[in-house]
Amino acid sequence: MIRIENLQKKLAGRDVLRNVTLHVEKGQFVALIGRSGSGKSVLLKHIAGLMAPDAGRIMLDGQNLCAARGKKLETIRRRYGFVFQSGALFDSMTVYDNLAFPLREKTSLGEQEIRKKITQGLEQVELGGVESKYPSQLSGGMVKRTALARALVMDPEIIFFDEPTTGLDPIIADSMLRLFDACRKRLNLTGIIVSHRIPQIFSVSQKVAMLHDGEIIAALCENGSIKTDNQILRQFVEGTVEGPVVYQ
Amino acid sequence: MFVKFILLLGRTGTTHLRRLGRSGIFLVESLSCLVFPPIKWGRIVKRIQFIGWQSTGLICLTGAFTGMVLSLQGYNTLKRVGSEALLGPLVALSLIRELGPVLAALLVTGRAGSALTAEIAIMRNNEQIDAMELMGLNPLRYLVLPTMVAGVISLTLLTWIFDVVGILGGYLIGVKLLALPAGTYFGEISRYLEMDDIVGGIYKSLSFGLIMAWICCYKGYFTGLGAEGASKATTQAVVTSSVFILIWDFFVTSVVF
Repeated sequence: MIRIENLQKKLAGRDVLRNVTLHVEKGQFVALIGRSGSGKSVLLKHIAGLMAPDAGRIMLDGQNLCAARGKKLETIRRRYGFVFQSGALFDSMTVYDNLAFPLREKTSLGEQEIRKKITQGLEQVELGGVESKYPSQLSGGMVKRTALARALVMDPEIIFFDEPTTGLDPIIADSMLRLFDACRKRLNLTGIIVSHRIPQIFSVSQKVAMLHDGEIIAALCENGSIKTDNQILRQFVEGTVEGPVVYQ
Repeated sequence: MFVKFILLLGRTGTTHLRRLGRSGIFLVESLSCLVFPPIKWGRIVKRIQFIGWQSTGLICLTGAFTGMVLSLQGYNTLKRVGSEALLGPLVALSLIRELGPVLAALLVTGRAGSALTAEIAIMRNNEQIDAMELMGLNPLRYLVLPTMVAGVISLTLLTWIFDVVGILGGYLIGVKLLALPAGTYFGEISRYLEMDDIVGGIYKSLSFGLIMAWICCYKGYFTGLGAEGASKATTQAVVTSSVFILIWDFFVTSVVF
């Protein structure tokens, strides 16, 4: 479904993405891991079409995302949902208006249908009674759930999560991961999750991709563990300083 | 040493040229949303409420005191040459042609422009602008164009208010305190004030409103990261807008008047 081929990006003189190649199949959730500052969010923003690469291409069902502009890019983005690290909810709007905003602007739905869709969306993420609250009145977990509801309300096929469990306590973080998995199964979503929650993230992913030195080391996940002989990936997942890579 | 200097000069020059080009493209892209509907009238009204309505008190207060001090200073100067009767035109023309548009623009830049930059910068850093783009919505249409339109409308109206309140402040000092006849004060204003003066003032306030909104939105939109980036963007927005307004004022004055 998504094919990233030899993607390169230099930022502030540093090769953040050197030669990134990654394939994501339909219905697959890929856990994107790597050290802080390794370029995971940058890669995600490239796939979402928010950043343009220096070289390489991203193919979505045969369409080159990097060459898409204007209406074509908008059509591609309509297939996406994105849950940002901070939630990226509009703080001047209530939860209801945050969810209603894309529906009012990008669909021809009436206010009754919008209300129905929002109620469904909030039920999906197990969040109720917060419609009239502002983002500043919500807890961290509620912000992430609202952000997920906003992403799902437009019925995306592909969803991206940028560190969705950062800043949450372990219990809420675990419940969020379960929620993502449930949504994936129910809505047949394809997705990429950037996360540091190792090994929990493997239980909701079918594939793991580690971004190391601007390149991808990929492995398959099964029953919550990864199948790989790659020592660099093993060392990172086990979280040990002893191994082929000297971490400073 | 000389080659290094030339290289540095060239690099600095191209960096500034690139920034200027980018800000120009930003302005053109934002204004082109006016040509291609939909125009977000609700957002424009909200921005007018913030930039215009909420600045009214400040504009009235500063306008009144500007008129009063102009009247005091003007009366003492004109008295030396025996032309106290011209106090009204002095206050009115100074305000309408120059002080009204410039001071109103600088005050609105300080009050509303800085807040607009901070708001857009925070939206950028919190990824709200990215979220908008991913929804297929053009942030220039939703955030920038309404601010530009509201900036132009608000500043023009605020300048009129500043002028009127300033003339009344001048009247208070000149007529009530310094005993100039009221008929002389207003009569001389209507004798010397021409339509060109008013139109020139309007041109100025229209262009100052656009400059303020353009620079403040641009600085917020392309802010640096974190709280430091946002605070730097806010400072730069206020300083750059103020300097541009004064430079542009000189050019408009030399062309229009």
